[in-house]
Amino acid sequence: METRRDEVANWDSFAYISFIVAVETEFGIKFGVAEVESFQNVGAIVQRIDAILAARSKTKGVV
Amino acid sequence: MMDWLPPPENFRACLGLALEPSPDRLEKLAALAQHRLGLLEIIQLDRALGSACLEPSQGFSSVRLAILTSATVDHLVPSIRVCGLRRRLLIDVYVGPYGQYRQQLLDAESPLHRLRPQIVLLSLTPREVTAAVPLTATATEADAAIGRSIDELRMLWRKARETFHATVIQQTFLNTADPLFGSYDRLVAGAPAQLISQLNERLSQAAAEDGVLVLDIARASERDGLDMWFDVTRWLQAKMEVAPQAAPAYGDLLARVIAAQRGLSKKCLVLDLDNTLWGGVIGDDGPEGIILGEGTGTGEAHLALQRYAKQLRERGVILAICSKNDPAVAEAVFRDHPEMLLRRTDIAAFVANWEDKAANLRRIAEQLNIGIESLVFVDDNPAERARIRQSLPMVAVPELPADAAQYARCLADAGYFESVAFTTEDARRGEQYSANASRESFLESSQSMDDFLRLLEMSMTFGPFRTVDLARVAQLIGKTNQFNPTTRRHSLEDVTRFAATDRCLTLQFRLVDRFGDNGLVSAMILLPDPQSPDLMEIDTWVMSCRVFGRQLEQEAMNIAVETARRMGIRMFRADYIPTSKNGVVRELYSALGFTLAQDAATPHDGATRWFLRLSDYVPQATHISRRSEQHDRSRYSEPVDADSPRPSVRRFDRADNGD
Repeated sequence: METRRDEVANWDSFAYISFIVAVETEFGIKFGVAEVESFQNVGAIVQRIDAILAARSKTKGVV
Repeated sequence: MMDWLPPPENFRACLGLALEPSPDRLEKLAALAQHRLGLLEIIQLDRALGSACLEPSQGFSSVRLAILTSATVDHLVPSIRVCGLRRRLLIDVYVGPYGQYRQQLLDAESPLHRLRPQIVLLSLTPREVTAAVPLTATATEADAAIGRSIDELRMLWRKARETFHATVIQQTFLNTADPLFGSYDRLVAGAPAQLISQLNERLSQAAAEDGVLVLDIARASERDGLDMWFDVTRWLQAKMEVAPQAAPAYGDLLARVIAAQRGLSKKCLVLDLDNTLWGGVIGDDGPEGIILGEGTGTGEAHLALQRYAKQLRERGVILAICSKNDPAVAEAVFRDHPEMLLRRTDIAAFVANWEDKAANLRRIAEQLNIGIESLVFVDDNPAERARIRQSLPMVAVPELPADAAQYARCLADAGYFESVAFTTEDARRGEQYSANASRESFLESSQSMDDFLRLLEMSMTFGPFRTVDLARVAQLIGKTNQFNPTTRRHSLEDVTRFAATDRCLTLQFRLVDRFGDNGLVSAMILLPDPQSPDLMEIDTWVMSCRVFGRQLEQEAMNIAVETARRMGIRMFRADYIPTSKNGVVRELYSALGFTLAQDAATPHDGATRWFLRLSDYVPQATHISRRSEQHDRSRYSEPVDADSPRPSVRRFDRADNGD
């Protein structure tokens, strides 16, 4: 969860965007450009996914 | 998207199985690729493909593709490879560095030159062009700017061709420009959206003139919606012109064009009858009870499928019927029902019985003399579809939607009959198949085979490849699997080059008989041996299966020997390289009087090498008379010039079956 982009071998901007695309596809969500640039580590991404999914289930009235 | 493919049943489990070491891993991966896969599944399958030992095994072929681009395309590569695998093509993809497509082509030291691609894809964004034209540009100025861009593209196409003899594919431009004036954009020559639309127009004209293929993602984005194909976030973040979610569709579109270029498109559409070509069951409901034709939505939906099938036939796709029905009852509908658009003469093979459809599909392929893998089977019944997928995995079986209104569109979306040319032979194929049916009944009434051939009143014209022949010759070479001793797939570029080379002997043969003109049905390419000036090798010889058993091969060899003698040639060499499909010509050269070379060191397993001393050749007597091509020559005698643009033949579409 603490893993940062600069700690992964061979990690570059294309790999990062590919990862973001995979996450978005898997969860059926979409991050904004600024969000994608602001994520500091994996934990931040997980938090954001949780927040988006929670907001979605609330609007649908699902617990 | 990709709705014609069945969803995978258990992707993870299947992928796990395919990853276990076994000799048929590639087969398992290819089977998995036949399903409707999402982006992430495609990436996983592509990884598995990369880890599998990719010795090109039986039934798979390899192709080297270079993508030259002014955008990021790396995210499209897994889809390209997986969609290639779907067509049993192992595509080796090279992606040129971002934005350096010109340098890559022009610099002889670039990695591209070491790769020697067989296919070069230009995947460009239109932004360079639109940025250079001011909004205030007049129509003339805008036109000139577009003209300059097209000229540059043509220069790059020519370069790719000359350097690599590669097939060039130009991607159309996605129209991602936001409206400036709204609808009025269309009337402003310098408006970005209008520039892109004009760019695509002019690009298509230039491609048609130069014989370059296009990858029409602009059209696909109109079909699926621009948002499906373009995601501005990805463009801004990573300069991806094609959105990642469009990658599976992009890969399939590209793989179709590559497969078509290599003769792997489908050739024959096999249709079910009840609830497919019409609503209802003819055996139960009777001719008055079935739903077909104007008046009801359902009737028009089935009619729409018939209309689409009829249009496919007009462009050269063979039509067949495979139905569980009483044959007399089924045929009567074609003959007597006033709303039927398809007529019995449109159908090249008509199989109605109560037997297993898998056996019937085999029979249809046999009857038409085409490979079973070139069939598309359309049936509304999921059980029949599942049965065919299971027992004949090489047959394409679209997952038809529940609503008959969507049938034609589903078939069109699947792109089974993708083409890279449209020749006069294609346009006349339907007619030729009907004529073949007449020939067959004529054969039955003839006393003997010899009698039959004599009474056919066959005559033939022949000569070197002329400009008008090139597209058809390349098509025949690309698609013929049976009468093809070497199965060398020369591209249009190669054929043009051979035809323009003095020391090469090229011959094309056309056959006419009392039932009609069979068109250009055979082609030969003989190359001089660099070591012995009086020796020629039969590099390629192909013949359409429609004219098998008509003595054409004997007459063609008579002509080849005569022509070569006049060129001072004394000896022919010919190889037979066996494939799973060309067994019919295993003994061809033996039958024509060639001698088998005993100690032949041929580079292929099971290949045989044959020699013919021309002075020993005894011309074969045939029932084919020769007609002079003189009157043709006056019309078409332009010799082929390798530097000129592509042949001026109509090149729209192609679905010939050489076989």
